[in-house]
Amino acid sequence: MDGDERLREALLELEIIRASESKAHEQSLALMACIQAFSSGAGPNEALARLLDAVNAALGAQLTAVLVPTAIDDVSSVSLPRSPDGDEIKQRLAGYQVLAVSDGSSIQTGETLMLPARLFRKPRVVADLQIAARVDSLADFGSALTMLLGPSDTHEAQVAATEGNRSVVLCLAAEKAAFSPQTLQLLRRLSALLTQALLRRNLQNQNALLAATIQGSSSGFAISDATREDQPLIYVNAAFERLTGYRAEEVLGKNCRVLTAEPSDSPERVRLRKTAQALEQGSFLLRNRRKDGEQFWNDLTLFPVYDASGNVRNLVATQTDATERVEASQARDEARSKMEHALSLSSDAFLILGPDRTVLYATPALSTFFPSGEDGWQVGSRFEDNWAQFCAYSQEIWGRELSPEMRLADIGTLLVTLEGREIQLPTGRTLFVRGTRLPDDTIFLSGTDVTPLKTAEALLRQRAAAIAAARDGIAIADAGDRLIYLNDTAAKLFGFNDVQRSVGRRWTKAYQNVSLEALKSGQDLLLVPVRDPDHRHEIRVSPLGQEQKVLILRDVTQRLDQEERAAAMQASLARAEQQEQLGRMASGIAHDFNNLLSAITGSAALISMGNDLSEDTQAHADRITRAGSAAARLVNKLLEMGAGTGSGKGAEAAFDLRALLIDVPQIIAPALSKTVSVKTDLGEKPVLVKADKSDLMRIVSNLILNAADALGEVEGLVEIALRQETLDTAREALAGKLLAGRQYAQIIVRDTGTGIPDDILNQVLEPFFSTKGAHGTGLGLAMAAAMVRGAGGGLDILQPTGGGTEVVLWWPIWLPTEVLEQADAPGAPVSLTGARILIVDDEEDVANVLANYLGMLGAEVATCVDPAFAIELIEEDPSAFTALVTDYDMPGLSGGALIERTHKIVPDLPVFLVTALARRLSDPRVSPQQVNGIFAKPVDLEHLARHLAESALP
Amino acid sequence: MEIVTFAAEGGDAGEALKSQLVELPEQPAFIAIQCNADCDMSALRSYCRDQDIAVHGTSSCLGSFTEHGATNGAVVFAIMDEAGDYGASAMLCAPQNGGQSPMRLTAAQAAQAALKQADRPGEAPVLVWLTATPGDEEAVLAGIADIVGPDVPVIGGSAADNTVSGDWFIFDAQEQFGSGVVVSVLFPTGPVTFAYQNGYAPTEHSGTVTKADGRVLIEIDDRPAAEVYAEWTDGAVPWSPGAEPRGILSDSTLWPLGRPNGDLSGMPSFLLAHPAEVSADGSLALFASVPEGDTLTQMNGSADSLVARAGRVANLARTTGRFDRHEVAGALMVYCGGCMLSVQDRIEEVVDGVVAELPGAPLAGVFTFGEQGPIVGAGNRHGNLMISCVVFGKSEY
Repeated sequence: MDGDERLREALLELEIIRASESKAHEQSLALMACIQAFSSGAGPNEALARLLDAVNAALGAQLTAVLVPTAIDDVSSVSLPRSPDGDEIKQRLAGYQVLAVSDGSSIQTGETLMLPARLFRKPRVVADLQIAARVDSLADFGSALTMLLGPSDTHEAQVAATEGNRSVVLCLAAEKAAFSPQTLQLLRRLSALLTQALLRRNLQNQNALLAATIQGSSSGFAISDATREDQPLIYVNAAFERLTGYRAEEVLGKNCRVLTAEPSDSPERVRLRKTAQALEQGSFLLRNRRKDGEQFWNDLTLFPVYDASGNVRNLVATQTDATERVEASQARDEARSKMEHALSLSSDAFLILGPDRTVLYATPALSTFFPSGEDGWQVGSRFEDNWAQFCAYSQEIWGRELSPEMRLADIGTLLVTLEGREIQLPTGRTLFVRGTRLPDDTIFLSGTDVTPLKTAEALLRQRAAAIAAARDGIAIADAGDRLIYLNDTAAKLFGFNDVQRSVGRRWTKAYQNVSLEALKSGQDLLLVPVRDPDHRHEIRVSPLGQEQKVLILRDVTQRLDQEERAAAMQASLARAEQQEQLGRMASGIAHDFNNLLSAITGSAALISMGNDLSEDTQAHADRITRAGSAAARLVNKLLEMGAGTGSGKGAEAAFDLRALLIDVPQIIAPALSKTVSVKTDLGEKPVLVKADKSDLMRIVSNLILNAADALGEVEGLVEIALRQETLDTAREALAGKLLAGRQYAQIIVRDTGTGIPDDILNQVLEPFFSTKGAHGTGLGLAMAAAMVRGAGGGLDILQPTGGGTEVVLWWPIWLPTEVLEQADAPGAPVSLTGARILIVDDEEDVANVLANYLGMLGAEVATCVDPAFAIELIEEDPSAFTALVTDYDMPGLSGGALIERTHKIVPDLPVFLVTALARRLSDPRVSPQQVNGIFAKPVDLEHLARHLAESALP
Repeated sequence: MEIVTFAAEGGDAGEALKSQLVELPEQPAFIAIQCNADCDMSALRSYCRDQDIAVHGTSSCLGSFTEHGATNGAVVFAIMDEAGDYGASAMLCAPQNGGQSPMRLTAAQAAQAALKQADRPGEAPVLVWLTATPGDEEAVLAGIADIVGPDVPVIGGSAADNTVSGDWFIFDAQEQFGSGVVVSVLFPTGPVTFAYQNGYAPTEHSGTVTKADGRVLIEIDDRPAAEVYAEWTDGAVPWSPGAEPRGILSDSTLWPLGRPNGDLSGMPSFLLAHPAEVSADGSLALFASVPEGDTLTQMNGSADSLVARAGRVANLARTTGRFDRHEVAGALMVYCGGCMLSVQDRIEEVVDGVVAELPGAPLAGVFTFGEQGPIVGAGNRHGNLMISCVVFGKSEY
């Protein structure tokens, strides 16, 4: 590069730099001019005005204004063409108030302009305002500059400023493209100065506002000089003068203690003195005295004012006459004290909470209901803390966790629940709580223990429910017999369909022939319902108060029928017992008489067997024998006759059970509800029993009625079944004892009802036990049990797994046994030589006669009056005897028992029974399998000997 | 505000640049693309259109350069500046309508559209970045001034191809045109400074334009312009009557004609016009207009000064803005394509000179057939054989 070119280049660069610096210089000059203008203003307002003019000139603008966005929601949208091609956009116009504007402008301070908000989002150099912002207020201008001012400026008091809304500067020029980016750069620098000017103006305005506020304040203001000893007053406002009665000139230069009426050592005055000496802030309530001597309460606030160096220059005291407030407060405290005393005596709990939920007041009862430790519910403590302690306490003491709702303690909901609510305490008590929010947001809560009330209420509810559900009809009628109340059962009995619509009706109309006398007698009434003449109702009328009556109604139709049946049954039983006793007496006499006859006829027979008898002796013996035999026949005939009349109706005859049971459903049908079906299953084979048909019929009928009752109102089935059963082992039935090897008829009555509870199963056989109340007699099953026991049978009650009840009657099946009649004519002589015969009879004479007779026929005979001893003999040597001859009716052990036990020891030992009651014998052990022959006393000795000869010889 | 540059070469340079753009941690608000006229930028444009990125694109003679050196492919200069506003719009040259230059209207419309994209309609941007296809750049500058005013700096260069055969083009994210203008308006949050210079000295030869027609200089001092030019260049660009028309772009690079442009402290200042062709009738076709009556001065330069000039312009731009080197966020460079062709074998020296002045700063350069920029005291001008540099500062206002 040659020198010329270097020089040229250097010059060029110099020129550029000079141009650049020239611009910088111009900007500096403009800045200086603006600063000078700002400084030359007499006050903040003038400084701002001059600055704006200078800025306007520096930028070459026609108008420069400071604007502040208004908080008024005066945003509107306008549609305007943005570009020549007609492209339209929506733009948001916002209100901007003119805070200040350069001189000679067409817009005025305070005026509000509607401008596009987007203009002020960023600093802008607008070359063409018609494109950037077509609004009427800017129609005269071609270009603009916009700039946001610093964030520290504060707005005019009358401008409702919002957070983040910053003032803006708007410069306008008439021609287009009047401003360049450099102009914007200059404005950017000037904006800091504008911010300062605004701040100064606002500060001045604020100061003026503060001064006016203090001067016009209704509170007294007093300012003292804190730098001087004794801190004399240097300013008091008009309110101070009115409050104290002193004129300013009377107190200025003096300490304000001239006002005090407090003793110098009062705590409040000491505190004020210390605060003033320490130049600190504080609030005080002092008793002061006006100039005229009248005392008043002064609510005084003291605070220090610092200078720029941080030193306290002044103390400012604001003073307010608090006399009314203090006296009202004292009156309120007194009233409160009285109220607290009254509340503390109440058993109800009261709690007053402040708006922040601190406890303001709590009665002792509160700690009783909601214990929360020793210091619980102290004034000043927080509700939530106390409640948390109460929750913990509940868990700890009562081991009971509170419900989530209780733990939440939702006071807010309680406050809006005007009628209050009940809460359940962990102690089981019920508390009725209410809450009210007072106008000052204080919360008032009260709690009343309503446990006794709740208990009574529950009791009443239970009683009402019991009455409504009672099986008896219960009704209340007025003096005119009109119904006031009735339960469902009563309505049903009266024949009314609807309980509610029955009220007011006359109950006597529901019955036939209700006599006034009977009603007045106070006795139970037995009435026939009009709508159901087949039924009878028992009605008890009791007075209720002076006018009303309580009616208790019951349908006794069934009970009366049952009572009739029971009475007939009782009579039948009594008759049967009477006959039984007669029979027993007769058989006892016959037994004894036959024994005597046995001895007599036996002895006569022995006499006849003598070899050297005279004819006369023989004739006498024969007469004795004939007379004895005739007497025996007479006794037995009488016995049979007695037996026939005693059991009546030809009882004890053997018959086929099926013939009896087949008729039962038809006979009993009228007594059964239509919901009950009866089914019979009686088998194919005849089942022979000996029994009183009518008794057995009654028993079975009772069992079927019981079964039908167990079904109640629901549909159900009663089954009657007949089976034959032989037990392998003996066992006790619920009633009676069942023997092994014995054949029994089973009469089974089965229902599909609810069954018999286990706890009363053992009682059902007891006489007069009934689950049917007045409807039952309690005799049905007891009678059945007694009869089956008497017949050598048993009774079982089973509860099948599928439900219902099964009653089983075990009745012995009749097996015919032969009573060996006396031989009509003597046969060939009998020899019993070789036979070893044991004779057992408690009548020693009878045994001896028999022993002598058999001994004379060649047999070895042993006699025994004690059947137990006889068993011992057989047990000692089972082969000692070839035959056993035994009586039946013996003390201690019957012939039946002896036969059974002997059969077990020596099963094939021939056994002959000689008894006075041969024809009445019904012992199942005396069966053809175990007994070779039964002989009636007085026995035909020869006949016996012949049978022994057939089986007793070895 | 942050600036990055990246380059790619070859037929799929557009795709490669797009991939690099996608990888940027922050989406750019504006990208300037300078590419060899052989490159297909459609993929990159399509991506930017979808992402609403302002794109200013131009073909550049034989490629471009970054701070890492020259490339015969394409270069992206990307500005990440969320708080700033940027808009770019390319327009096809409008048809002739009356006496006014169609390019003036086209440029005005492009400027308006760019402002609209920046959401700054009616405003004056901090800087206008301009590319027009060669032909009527003076009208383009007038059109832009119609919209933003005369005081907004407009810097740029004319689109160039590799053989001066008219293959140049300009584009934005939407479209690409072989004849038209692309205008970008920049409202960055950082400061901007610039310089616009040439590296030529006047000779003792000068004369008056006695006949001209736009950019065709017909006579100097009533003589065929080519004849006078041959004398002034001392035969470096010879001409004889009846000779075939021919291109003289390369021959005339060191011999531009200077138009008076005020003076600098008593020394005349010149705006250069670069002769491109000589015709049989002795007229000279220039890359700039010369009004009749203007005095033309023969200017002369050297390869060394062209190589060193770029760095010096960069330095001038930085010092004018009073930036420290570490305050520079990036720089865009316009380097005359003709000059570049003259010092093509020393292009890395050119780049090194700039990097030395703006160390560490992302750089992108465009080689143009005509340069526009602001002349002190004269406003925005179009000239030839010029070098300009725009420096973006880091610090925000």
